[in-house]
Amino acid sequence: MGTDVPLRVPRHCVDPHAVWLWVGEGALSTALLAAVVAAARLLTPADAPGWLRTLLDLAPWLAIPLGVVLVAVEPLWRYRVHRWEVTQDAVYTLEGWLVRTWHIVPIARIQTVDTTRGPVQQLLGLATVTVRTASHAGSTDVQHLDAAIADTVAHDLALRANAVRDEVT
Amino acid sequence: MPARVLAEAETRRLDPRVIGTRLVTLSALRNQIGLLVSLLALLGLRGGVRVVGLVGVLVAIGAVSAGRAAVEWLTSSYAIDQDRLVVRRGALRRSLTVVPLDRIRGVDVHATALQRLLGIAVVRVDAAATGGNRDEAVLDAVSRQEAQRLRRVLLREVAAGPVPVPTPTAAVAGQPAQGAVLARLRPGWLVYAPLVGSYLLAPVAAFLAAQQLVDELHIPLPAGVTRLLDGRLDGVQPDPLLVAAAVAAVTAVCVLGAVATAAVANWGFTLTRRGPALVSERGLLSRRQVSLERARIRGYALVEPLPLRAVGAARLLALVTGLGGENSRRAQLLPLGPAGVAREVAAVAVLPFTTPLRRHPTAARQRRLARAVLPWLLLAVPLALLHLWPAVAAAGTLAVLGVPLGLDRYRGLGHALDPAAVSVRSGSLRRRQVVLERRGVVGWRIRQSLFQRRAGLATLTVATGAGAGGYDIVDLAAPAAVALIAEVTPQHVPAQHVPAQTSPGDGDQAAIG
Repeated sequence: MGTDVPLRVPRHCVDPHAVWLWVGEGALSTALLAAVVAAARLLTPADAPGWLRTLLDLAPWLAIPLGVVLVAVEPLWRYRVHRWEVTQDAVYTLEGWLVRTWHIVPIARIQTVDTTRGPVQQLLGLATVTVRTASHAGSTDVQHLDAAIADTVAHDLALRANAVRDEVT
Repeated sequence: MPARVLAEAETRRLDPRVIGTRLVTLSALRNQIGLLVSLLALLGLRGGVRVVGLVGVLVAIGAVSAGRAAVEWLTSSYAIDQDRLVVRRGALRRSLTVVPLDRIRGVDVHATALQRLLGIAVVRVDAAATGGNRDEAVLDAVSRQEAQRLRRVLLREVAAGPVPVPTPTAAVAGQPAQGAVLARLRPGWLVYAPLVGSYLLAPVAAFLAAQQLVDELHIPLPAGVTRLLDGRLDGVQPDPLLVAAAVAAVTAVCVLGAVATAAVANWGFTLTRRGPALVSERGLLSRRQVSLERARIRGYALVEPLPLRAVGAARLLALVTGLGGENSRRAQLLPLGPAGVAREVAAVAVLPFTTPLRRHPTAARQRRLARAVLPWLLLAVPLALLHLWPAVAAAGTLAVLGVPLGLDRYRGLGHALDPAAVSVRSGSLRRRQVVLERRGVVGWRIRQSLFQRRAGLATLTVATGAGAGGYDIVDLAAPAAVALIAEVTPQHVPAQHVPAQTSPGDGDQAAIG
């Protein structure tokens, strides 16, 4: 009998193009995994112990479903889970797929707001907004927003953080 | 003292006795390592009389060091000018450090044994600009009296600045007066030192260093000892009595070494309230005086590693903004002592917290057990396949030991709230109870894995700018996590949400609209 964290889910989804980015990341991981398995199979000498050969025979059968999960299941799952919202008081984010992480960052505690765009993000027109406070655990980022929206959000947050800043950190 | 102490803008020199510390000391040798190596090499080539040559080298080094120290002394100066501290150093490479007085967060005074003999001390000024442990300005060295005067002047100006934020509620009856001693380390408490890993490591490290030194200097040792050290015991029958004696001797050395290390570091530890700061002083050979601004202290951590907990002892550290982690000796409020004393010191020095901790759901116990036992069992499987039976036995033993460990970890979990603070406790091998002022909370993080979702649990992290940056409340009920956020920072729970009312035992929940 499971219980979800009874917090209202933040309102906004991330940009749909993020799915392609996650697909790409999943494909890359799968390719790496396949390369490792293939290399292991090629380089193992014929006189290796039996259990090692069994393991290497099984490896592709494990790697393929894993690859499918990383490429097809994880991106869609993440798209359903990742959320963000900025209210009058705080920035809320929800991310993850197997492990879900909520962040609540009060606007009064924000110290810096960064917008970053990696190469793949630039191709897809995405950006990540990173919000930092005095605490590493209390800092969060909103990944893979549409670039224009990200700029607006970052600008807005920076202005409001300045206006509302507490004296006490 | 007159109110306008800062009207003076006179430039002062460092104390000339600092040259004495540069003559022939380890640090002087380190600084002149190039000169040292070349002189020694020269000696080696000449093959002259060893002792005379060595003395000559030391004299040469001493002269060069003294010369450099004299030049540095001549070209260094400092002044407190209106609202800033200005420090000038250097002849060839001039440096000017300006520290605004209202950025000063702490002033530390440190004196090594040699400096104490000479009556001088090093003053380190910690300012808000850099953050972390980096000092902003260093005065090496001034006379003892001048160091204390500087400490009072620099810190008092901080107190005269912005109105300090009043400590929320929880009025402590009979706050000790200024200059009152809040804690004092009794010498008897040093016996707890061998139970603390870091003190125990010191004799081991010293032994290894000595062994390396013996090797490099080719000091001749009796043949038996060399054989023993090299581990070559073939052909020698191990006499059980001798082995037992050797083990006892080694243990005794380690225990005494740990106590000695702790004594040297913490002898005469006192914690005093002086003005807006808590000042701690400690040290046997070197004397270190650290001031922590009360306004920067957000709480405390009571650390009870398993060996200490077994004898009822604990360590106490302050959570200070910008001071990071618990490995910072600067934040110590009580390095070693009985747990009861530590709690009293925490109540008086920081804030009292008497609310009993709430236990976590029983599902958390299963999780702690699983995490303590399963990894070893899973490891044992491939080891068994490889027929590595000793390793399998070891993994099995660790798995069995994981049961009491997991249970103790569950018993260690707890959290509580009072009007002024949040408290979090966790751990078994290293149990730590953190009490954090509510105003120190800068954000929240909730993590929930698949297993936690099925069990109805979550891990709530209280984010703060002090200490470790975030403290985990592990495996509490998911609704309780949200209720706690709503209680401490009600404005940050997203609107249109009402946390499900859990058991009536969750007393102090604020009503949420």
